Amino acid sequence: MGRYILNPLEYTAEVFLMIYLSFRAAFFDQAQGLRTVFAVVSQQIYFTGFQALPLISVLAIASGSIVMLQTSSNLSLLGGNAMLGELMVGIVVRELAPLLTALIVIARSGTAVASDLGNMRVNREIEALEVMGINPLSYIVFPRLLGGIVSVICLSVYFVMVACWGGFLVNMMLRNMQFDFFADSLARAFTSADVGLFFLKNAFGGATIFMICCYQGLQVKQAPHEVPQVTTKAVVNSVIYVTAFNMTVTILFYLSRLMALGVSL
Amino acid sequence: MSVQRKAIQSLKLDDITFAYEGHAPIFENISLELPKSRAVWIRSPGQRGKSTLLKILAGLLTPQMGRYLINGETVSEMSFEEFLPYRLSMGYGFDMGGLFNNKSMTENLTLPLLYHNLLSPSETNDRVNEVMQLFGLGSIKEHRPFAVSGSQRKLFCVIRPFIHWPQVVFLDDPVTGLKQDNLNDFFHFVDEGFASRGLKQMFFTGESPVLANRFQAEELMVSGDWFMTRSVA
Repeated sequence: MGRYILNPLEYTAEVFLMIYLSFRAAFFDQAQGLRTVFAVVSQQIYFTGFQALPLISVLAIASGSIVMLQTSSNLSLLGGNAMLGELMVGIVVRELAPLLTALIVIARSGTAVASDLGNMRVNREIEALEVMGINPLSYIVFPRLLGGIVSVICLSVYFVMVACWGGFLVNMMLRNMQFDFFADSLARAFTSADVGLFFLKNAFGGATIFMICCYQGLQVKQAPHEVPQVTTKAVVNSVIYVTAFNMTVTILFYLSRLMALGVSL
Repeated sequence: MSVQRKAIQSLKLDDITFAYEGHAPIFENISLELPKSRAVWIRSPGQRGKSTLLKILAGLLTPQMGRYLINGETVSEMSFEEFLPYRLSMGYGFDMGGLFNNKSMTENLTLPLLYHNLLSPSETNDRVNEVMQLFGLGSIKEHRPFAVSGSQRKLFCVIRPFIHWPQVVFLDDPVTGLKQDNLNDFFHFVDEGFASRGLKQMFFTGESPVLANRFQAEELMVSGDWFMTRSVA
């Protein structure tokens, strides 16, 4: 029984220790070439952020229009069209954008990072970095972590924008919705708490995905057959950690709102 | 800001034991001061432990027991940053592998020089071009490792540890897979290193005596819990 509790705790501690060590190696080690490290960061942002835009666009348009069509058609029956903005913020901004973006990034970039690092381990590239005096934590892990966090946040912001525009355009065509009404409803629904929740989920999601994938990739000892095994493990663990965190934050957010409204729990 | 290299005066193993996870120990309670000859040929009668010893000496592996000392300082007690000045005085060549697949052959050579600001970008280009010309590799300088022949990959594995002209070089089986022309160029390259580039010592493994004969190496025979040294006749 203890094993089922201790193993995940130990794993979590090791992953978070790696986050700390990679930041420490990148910032506190005067010897490391930051210019070279930031070249790798920009590459990571290009692969994870820029190249994922078409897929994110399709998903965002689909989810935005589905959510808006479903909510607006049901709300109009109940006479609650004014709540459209709140539902869009509640569903798309707080929940769908961070979760779907994270899942896309895990599928596209998480797998790539885990298998890339696994192959580097097999090909002795990690050892080669060490003998050159290049810390793999600052040259390999840190740029992927930083690039991953920036990419996930940017992709999620893009997701929200495209989902809102896509949803509006579909509603405008099918239900003759006015832009002023939509924009006003959305603007009234946004609060600073939504912005905080949005960035918290995305920053944590980005950090978790890339740290778990780097950690798993570096677990390869020497055989090529280990690479697909660690890649699968990286995907499974990333999905579990991201969904568990998003769910926990959402529950705490709604509980705090209920308490602020004076509802006793 | 570039890191100041530290000169290596002595390499010593103090009562070390090393085993790979789940395997019997390769070295058990072995103590030895590494020879100071300019070329040392590491051999093993049981064909076990040569590459492992090189990796321990290069700081890639840490013995489970005992201490590996450079200039009297215990390597396992140093952080990555503290060990860096010694690392930059060393070069390590893998028998195979170790080249970065997502970088061109030129970038494979320039990385350590640029990363540690050991040379300016123009000096780096000059040095890499000079080495490429010496070995006749100009035509593949922009190729990636998977796009060149096995012997060319091997050649890069052998010359890359010298690119920053370290004081001590460890080469794991450098001769196997090298063409005769490349081998002759390599001899001249190493001669120049000893003569004018600050190279002091070269440790190498491998079955072929060609390198040992050319550089009049001292032979270091290591196995399990004993070692012996002798001159190559």
